[in-house]
Amino acid sequence: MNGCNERLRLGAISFDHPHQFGWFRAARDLPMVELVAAAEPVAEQRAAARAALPEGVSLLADPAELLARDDIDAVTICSANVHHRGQAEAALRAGKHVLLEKPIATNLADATALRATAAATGRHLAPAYPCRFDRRAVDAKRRVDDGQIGRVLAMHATNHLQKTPEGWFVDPERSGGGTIMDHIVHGIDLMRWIGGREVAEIYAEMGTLARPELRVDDVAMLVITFEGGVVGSCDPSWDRPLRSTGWGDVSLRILGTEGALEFDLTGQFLTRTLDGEAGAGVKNVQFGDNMNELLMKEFAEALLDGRPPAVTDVDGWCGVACIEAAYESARSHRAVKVAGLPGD
Amino acid sequence: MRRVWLIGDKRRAERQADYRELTGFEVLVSGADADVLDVAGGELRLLEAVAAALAEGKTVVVHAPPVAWSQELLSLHREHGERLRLARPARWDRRIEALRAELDAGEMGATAAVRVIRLASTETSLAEPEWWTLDALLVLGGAAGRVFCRRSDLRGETDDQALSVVRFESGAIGYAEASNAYPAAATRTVVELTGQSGMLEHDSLAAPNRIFGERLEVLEEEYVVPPRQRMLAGVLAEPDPDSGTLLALAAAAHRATGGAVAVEL
Repeated sequence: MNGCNERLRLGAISFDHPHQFGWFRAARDLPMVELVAAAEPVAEQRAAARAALPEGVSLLADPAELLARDDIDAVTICSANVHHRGQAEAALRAGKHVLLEKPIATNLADATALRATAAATGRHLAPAYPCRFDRRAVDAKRRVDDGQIGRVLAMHATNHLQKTPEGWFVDPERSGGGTIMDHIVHGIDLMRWIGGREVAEIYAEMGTLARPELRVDDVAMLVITFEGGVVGSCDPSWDRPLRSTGWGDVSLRILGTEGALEFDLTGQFLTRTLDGEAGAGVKNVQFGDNMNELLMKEFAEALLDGRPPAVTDVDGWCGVACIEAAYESARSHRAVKVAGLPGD
Repeated sequence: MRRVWLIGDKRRAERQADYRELTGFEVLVSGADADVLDVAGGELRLLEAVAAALAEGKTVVVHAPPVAWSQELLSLHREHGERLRLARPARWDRRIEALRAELDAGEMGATAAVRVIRLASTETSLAEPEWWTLDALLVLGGAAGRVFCRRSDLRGETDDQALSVVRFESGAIGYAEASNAYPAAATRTVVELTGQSGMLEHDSLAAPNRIFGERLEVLEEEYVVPPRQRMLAGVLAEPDPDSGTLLALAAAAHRATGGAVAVEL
């Protein structure tokens, strides 16, 4: 795109991941985005997809039909993880820019192939890392960059979730893995981005402990060594009780030579307590940033301006490299070196 | 029963109510008038004094020794049994007691994960938060099967952060983060435990015991850290088979740099 278009013409592929609904709501409210069409190959999910679509937006069964249209500039892909490479490569080859749910692939070979396809087609491949766009994360990065806490010494991230994942998320044939596959990328990306350091080595323990009936990992602990001697951790576990007041957290604590900084992206809320039956109990009511809206807005503005989105295929690839190292460590009980970007 | 302190750090020693300065630990170790020696500090000659006192049949209580001593202390524990005891800081902490009581009530279900974080200021030795976190893992998670630990000298002087990941014999996962690299005036303690049916959590920074003035002061630690005399009495009041278990965990953690190490008593 060369900046001549006034609106980004957007298509959506798959509603496997509910983030697609959030992105759709965000896109619907953004003046620079025009929703054109959606494709949902799973018949059972089409009714929910249809209900989310604004009037006039067509719903197709075959993603190939959507990709063949010449009135779509970019697509959002929210399929089960194992479909990411195939659907994203098809979109890139059809000349579409891609916003792809994380992780961009379930293994490093697929992530490498995806990057190569993006480079060959000249289209942008952006992983969906919305946490970067929350104002608290942006402010934390500014303070670190300004030297307000001095030189970064240690970073610790958590991205907990209630014991809610179901369906393809807990089917290893479709997800590729559990909490490590699904949940380390946000915390690690925030640490890479704010701390300005790549991950060098990971030690991980994982288990199926909160819900033993699952076939994927749901609790994990990572000790992370970054380049330059910074040492930290990441806890991505899906082990919060269903009756928790919030869905989980995205927290980061950074220690510097001159001070420490911490935030939780779910930490802006009021607490509602209700007596009675329906809806009774205590619940956190969030009033923080809508990260999906900020993610979609930046993606659209970047493409309309003719520049790469802020989060790139390199960031997506690094996330997959960390996932692969974490699983290898959890199997071997050794600290595992994280693969470096090819060509670096 | 006569109890005598051997303290490597003079400033710390002077805080003892019955402080009197003697020259030469040998005088105390070989003296017939002490049944129990409390040992605190990181000087190597203190470790030698522990061995000498045990050989003479005395009971020795070691307070937050350098974790680097844990293998040698474990060997002494194997040789002399419960006459060598650790002053376990978390065991006597009211927070940990309350958490343990909740666990024992049985409503949490099988434990999935235990996280213990203790962030101390640069004025504290790393040994204090490190023993505290490992002890808390032991109390809340039980015996450990294997452990990995990454120790770091973040500020470039001496080790000031220890991150340990533990696989308990139960299968649950433990995480211990100990640091004395933080600029805060107060020690911060965070404990989280998730079970298959619930969750327990405590963050001393979120506790309501605060003073708002020119700066925020968190008083939590002052309220919940055990009265020292209670811990000192408790260490000797009953057998503590877990001193050896804790030493074994610390010794394994100290060796576990490239990968996990089995915890062996």
